[in-house]
Amino acid sequence: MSLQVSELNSFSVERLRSEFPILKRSMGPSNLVYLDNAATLQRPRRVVDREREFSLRSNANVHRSAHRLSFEATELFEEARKKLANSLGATDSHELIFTKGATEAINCVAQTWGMDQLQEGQEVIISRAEHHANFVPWQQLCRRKKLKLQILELDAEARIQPSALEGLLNSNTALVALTALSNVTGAKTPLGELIPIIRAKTSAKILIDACQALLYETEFLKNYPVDFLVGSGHKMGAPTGIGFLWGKRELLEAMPPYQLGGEMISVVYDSDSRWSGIPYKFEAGTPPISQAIAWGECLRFWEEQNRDWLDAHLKALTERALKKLEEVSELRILGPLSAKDRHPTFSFSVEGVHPHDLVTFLDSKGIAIRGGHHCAQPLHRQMGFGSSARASLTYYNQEEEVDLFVEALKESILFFRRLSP
Amino acid sequence: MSLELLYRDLILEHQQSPRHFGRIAEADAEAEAFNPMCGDRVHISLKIEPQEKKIVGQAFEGEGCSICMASASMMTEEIEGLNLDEVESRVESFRSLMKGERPSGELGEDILALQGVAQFPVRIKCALLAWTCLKDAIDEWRESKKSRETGESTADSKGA
Repeated sequence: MSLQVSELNSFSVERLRSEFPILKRSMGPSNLVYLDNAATLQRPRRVVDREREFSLRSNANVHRSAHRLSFEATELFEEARKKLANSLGATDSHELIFTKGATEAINCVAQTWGMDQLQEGQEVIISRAEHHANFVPWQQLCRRKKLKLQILELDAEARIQPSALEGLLNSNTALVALTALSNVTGAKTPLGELIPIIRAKTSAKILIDACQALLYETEFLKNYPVDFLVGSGHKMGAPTGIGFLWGKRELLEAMPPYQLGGEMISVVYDSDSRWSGIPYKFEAGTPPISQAIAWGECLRFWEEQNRDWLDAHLKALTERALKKLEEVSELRILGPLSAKDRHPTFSFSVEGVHPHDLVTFLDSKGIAIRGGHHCAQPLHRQMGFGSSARASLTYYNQEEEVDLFVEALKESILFFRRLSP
Repeated sequence: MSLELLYRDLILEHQQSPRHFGRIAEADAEAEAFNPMCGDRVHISLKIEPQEKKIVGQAFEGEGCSICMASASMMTEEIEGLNLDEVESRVESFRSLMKGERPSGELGEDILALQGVAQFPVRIKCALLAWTCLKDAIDEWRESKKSRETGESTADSKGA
């Protein structure tokens, strides 16, 4: 660690938590213990304040009018685009398209690049760990275009093994679409190993779904040279309703538009139209303006935190959770068992207790976890889980919360199995 | 909210020893229902005596939380030997119970153990899944009976 101990000491989880007002909310017997961060992250007060301030002071449509307010809104909106591009490690902010979310970004690539460029007989590789947003668009594209969908299977701890991917690659592989970090298993995809293998063996394009990883990996594109990258703002504390598609300029320029309408045209004649350049070609209609500006503020917020402290804290949380969960013998983890391979997102099943019942039990103690298939049915089916319960942690969680969670889990097992012989 | 009110012993008991669990081999009516949010699934199969439209056999199978499974199990006991009009009236009564209202009609005593679910809005769907599925199976049976009868009568008139 590069920082002096005294500097590190000024960062603390209490200080970080004080920026998130919702964490002080009382949920009955205790304050909220929020362990559903993989679904959506809570928002720092500053982010909400920024969106409110924009709405009350600077609101206008962008790229539309010459009046000062519109000019100001446009400046702020484009500044947010530059801010996000910069944090992703992108050199050209025109390669960054604002979308409704990561789901829309993936659908955009499937419907434009996929429909236009892919030919019968070519192959698309996705992993078993993909959530539905990076699964169903490719499955349906493959059906329509008569492509072959290859599902990269996982090892016993639900990790992607480079050798397994290598076995699927061939001269027909046109796309490899993978998550950077699974929303179910918490497994980190070893992109540093996978990307050189894909590049060496094929000319396939690489799309990475960075929804879960975005907050934890800065300058993603510098570390991982891919072709398409997608993510959602609300997974890192920005508002809902906004995400992005980043793509290489030459790919985006060759793609037809996804939706048609205002903002994306340069000239409209009676019988035909010409499109704007990127990114506007892909931003038909009024974009999510206040959300983009709030996202910019969110990026500044995280930049001001100390990365070394954040990373050390997250590692400590992961290790603590693994150790405590090990104490529960009835529990089976769907994902890596060692801290180095994973993020603190833990999906698990408890013998004899349905995940939905666990959720209700923990909820009664103010602990918010998720139960279900987490938008990843094929993964659950393959790993022999009907569904699972999931606790997903982030920077503002505390080790005390891990302990509270595991204690409540043990209590719930006694409660639900009270009639068992 | 009280967990004891929701998870009565009777509910856990039904979950652990579900009644009429399985599928009827040659069912007269069947249906399957899913709750995509939590992955719950229920399959209902029925034997129906066509003259009196009476349930003469009933079974369920599937997977889900304790509320979902106990509700399905209790339901199969509730409808034993009833005719379809009575069954539909029980489905309606159960729906009103889940809305936190007084049941609109007759309901067995065991079923009342589920009334605590009404206090947990996110769990009402779990309790209703089997009942919705039962209604689907009956609707489908009535539909196909109707079309069979019209088919037969058309055939008859042609024959005549």
